[in-house]
Amino acid sequence: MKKLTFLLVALALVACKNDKTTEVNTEKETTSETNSTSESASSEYPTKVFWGDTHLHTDLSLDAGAFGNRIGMDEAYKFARGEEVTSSTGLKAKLARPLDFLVIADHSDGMGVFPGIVNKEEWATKLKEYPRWRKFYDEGKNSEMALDIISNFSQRTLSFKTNDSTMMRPVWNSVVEAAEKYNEPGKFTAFIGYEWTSLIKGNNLHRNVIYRDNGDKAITQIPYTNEDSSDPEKLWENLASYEERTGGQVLAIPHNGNLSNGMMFMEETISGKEFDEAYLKKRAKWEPLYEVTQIKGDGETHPYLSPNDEFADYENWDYGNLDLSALKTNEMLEHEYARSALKIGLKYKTTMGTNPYKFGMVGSTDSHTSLATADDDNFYGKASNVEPSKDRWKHPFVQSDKGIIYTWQTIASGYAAVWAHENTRASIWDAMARKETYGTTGARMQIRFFGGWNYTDSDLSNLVEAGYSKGVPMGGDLINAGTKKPTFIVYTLMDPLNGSLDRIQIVKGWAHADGTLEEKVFDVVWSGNREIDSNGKVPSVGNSVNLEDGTWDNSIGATELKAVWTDPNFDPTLEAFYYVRVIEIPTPRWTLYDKLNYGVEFTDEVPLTHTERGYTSPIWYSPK
Amino acid sequence: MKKLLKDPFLHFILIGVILFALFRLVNQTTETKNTIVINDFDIENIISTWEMQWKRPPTEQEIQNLINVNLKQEIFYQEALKMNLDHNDEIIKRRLSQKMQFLSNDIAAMIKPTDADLEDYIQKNKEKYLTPYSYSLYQIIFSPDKRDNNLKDATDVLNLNKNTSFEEMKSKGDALPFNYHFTNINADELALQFGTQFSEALVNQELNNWVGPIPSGFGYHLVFITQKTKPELPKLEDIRKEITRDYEYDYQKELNESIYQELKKQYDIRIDIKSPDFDPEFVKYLQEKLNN
Repeated sequence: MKKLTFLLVALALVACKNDKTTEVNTEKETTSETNSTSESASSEYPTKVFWGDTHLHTDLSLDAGAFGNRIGMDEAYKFARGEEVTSSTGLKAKLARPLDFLVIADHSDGMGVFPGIVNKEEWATKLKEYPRWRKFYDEGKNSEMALDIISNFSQRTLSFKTNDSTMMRPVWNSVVEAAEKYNEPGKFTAFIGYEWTSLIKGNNLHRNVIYRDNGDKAITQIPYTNEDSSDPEKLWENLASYEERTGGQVLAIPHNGNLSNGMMFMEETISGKEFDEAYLKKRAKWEPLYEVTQIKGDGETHPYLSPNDEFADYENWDYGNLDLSALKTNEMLEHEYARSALKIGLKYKTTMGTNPYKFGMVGSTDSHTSLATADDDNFYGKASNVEPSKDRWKHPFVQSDKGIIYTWQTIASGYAAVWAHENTRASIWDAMARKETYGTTGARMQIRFFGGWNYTDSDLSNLVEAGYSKGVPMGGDLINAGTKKPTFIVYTLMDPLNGSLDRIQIVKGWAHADGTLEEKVFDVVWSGNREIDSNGKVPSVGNSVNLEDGTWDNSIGATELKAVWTDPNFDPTLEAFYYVRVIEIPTPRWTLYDKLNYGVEFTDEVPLTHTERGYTSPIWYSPK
Repeated sequence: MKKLLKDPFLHFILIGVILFALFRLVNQTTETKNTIVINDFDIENIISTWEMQWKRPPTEQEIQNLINVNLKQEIFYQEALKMNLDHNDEIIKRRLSQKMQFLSNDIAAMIKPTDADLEDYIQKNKEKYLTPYSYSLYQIIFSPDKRDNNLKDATDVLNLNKNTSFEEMKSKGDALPFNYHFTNINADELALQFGTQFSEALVNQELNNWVGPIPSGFGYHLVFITQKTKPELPKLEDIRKEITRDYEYDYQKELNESIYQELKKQYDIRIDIKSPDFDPEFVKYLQEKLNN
């Protein structure tokens, strides 16, 4: 009652001042909204790559809030757009280069619970966990609280339902409203989205759900949760019912599978049924992309899976699942890394006619700080408790009776790159759906990749035009070679603010008729005059990073690499995929910047340099 | 007067005064007696909270129990207030101060800016809204990939080609996927393509001459600028959505801060630290700092 009186009085006070402006505002908003769904193709093919993050958490996420995140969607959007904001720990934060798009993907489970606890909402105070969490909160024990939440959520031992609609509805409304407010067609795309936080016994099966639509449609259905079901098939049903009811469009991007303990790319359904064609088709339809790299490790491949790949051992997290309640075994690996999953997909294409794991690549941060950055020299960490500070490196990130993962093991990765016609929800989403994307570990190199039947070296002088007119871009298909061999154009322009280029590789995977799988990495083009050694490899480019001042020498690499490549071992009867991996010369890892900025003395196990890389969506070959 | 009417703190005070008056008015009848009324609103609240937790409506017995529990809480609450037990309770302190914060957020959300407010805001934040420099220019690049000394090559070409035609000049550099001729490209886009080092170096270059070499992440460039447009303030209509958003964001923060500062002025804050562990200079510093 009191609150109501207050509102009435306050409204009366400001009403006269207000009338006119409100009117104008509404008009303006309507026009900008109608603009954003209509795609105007300015040229036949995309000429610009747009950079973004499809996986960012704000204080709305239960665990992010618990880790100390006190800034929200306003700050997240402002930061992504290139404005300066103040981080949760009071640091002035700004990107060196703005992003073009952002998906705020807060956990749908318990969306709004944290603000409820902070604000002592009555329903929140009645939760069984409230006294324990409140105590953590009051004593400033952010990490303890977050780990408690993650571990109880992972093991499904929370006392309350995390999908309560009275709790979620107002939060979802505010998520949609914020995206509408910051979305500016042509300038910056704020996608509406959320993270479906499926966890089965601590095994991470999260998916980021991204709407093509504007708020009018997206607001009609509250997000699907792990509480509703942990089974992706149920999520797809939910997305299908949304599309059917609203005429909208939505897709899901699986979280890096490295914490799924072999469940991200299984060979049966989550409910234990054998694959049937309908299932395979659904997986391929709803999940056209995969998050190949992020702060919690890189998921392209693993040395155990790719023993002949000297670049395979890159920032892998192979310790266990999300809460380290179960440790990793080697048998799990092939069902949680991108390259092996792409191969398993070919097996099903060969034996059952449909490829369930026909996905393209993106990288994203999964940052829980509201700050979307994958820049090593501007890294705000996985969560607000490990924002820049002298001691963050030795802070345990995950800890259980089975092991510890330290903050120094997190990586400043990654970004999603999308070749689209223009910067709008519709245009970027459509490019995601057709997989014209690549993921990087944070560097913004420009990568082009085309497949066709008759590219020649002369096409390199006009490679974009030739690429599109004589073949397909990354994410596309080549079918029925007959007597021909596939040819590919690879091209990369270095990131002018990052390392120069060591080499461009093509990774090929293929399936024999009996279902056995193979892979091979080809060095296609590289910097300098290095010659292929007796192992068939291009020797290392060397490491020019000066550990005393963090500088490096770009002259050991190339600013630009390009080539036309033909598969020397092509068999037209076998299913295959080809994707590009670009390797930069070694540059400082975020840990080196911490060392230089704060004078940290690390233990020897902490790496100080690394080779940033980019992974494109594959081009698939099929005999039919 | 107009300025006074817009003062956020005044709004806050006015609302407070009116609230207080209304509260007195409404509570006059109940002031002398101990009456507790449980109405439809209360009972709906009790039931919906129950349903949220248990996923079913409560039985009559349960409703009765719930009312009893609530009643007990209300009576204890009323008596505790009379005994001033709420004073100096850390949790109540935090909660009440938070409620003040919400109050000011609510007010901020209600006050919509006029065009004049927005124009004023743009003027005050000029730097942020100035459009970037914009250029029409020709550029060629000398890449380290293809040359032993790309800086020297660039310098030589510059010195030997003061009057060479645009057509001829085009082929003097290396083939990289950049335009030779840019028309009205702004500095932000140039910075995204070549790095900020390059775009910033253009500001002081002379027009209508080949100049350089200018370094970028890709090598050394020679540049011929035909047109340079200085930064200007955009019209409100062109950036209305952005300005409104920024204004409201800042206004809320400012309102919170100014309410705090105004209220703080009404308090005399004294630092009474005598412990020898503290440097007296530091105590003095604190004293000054906290009263400003």
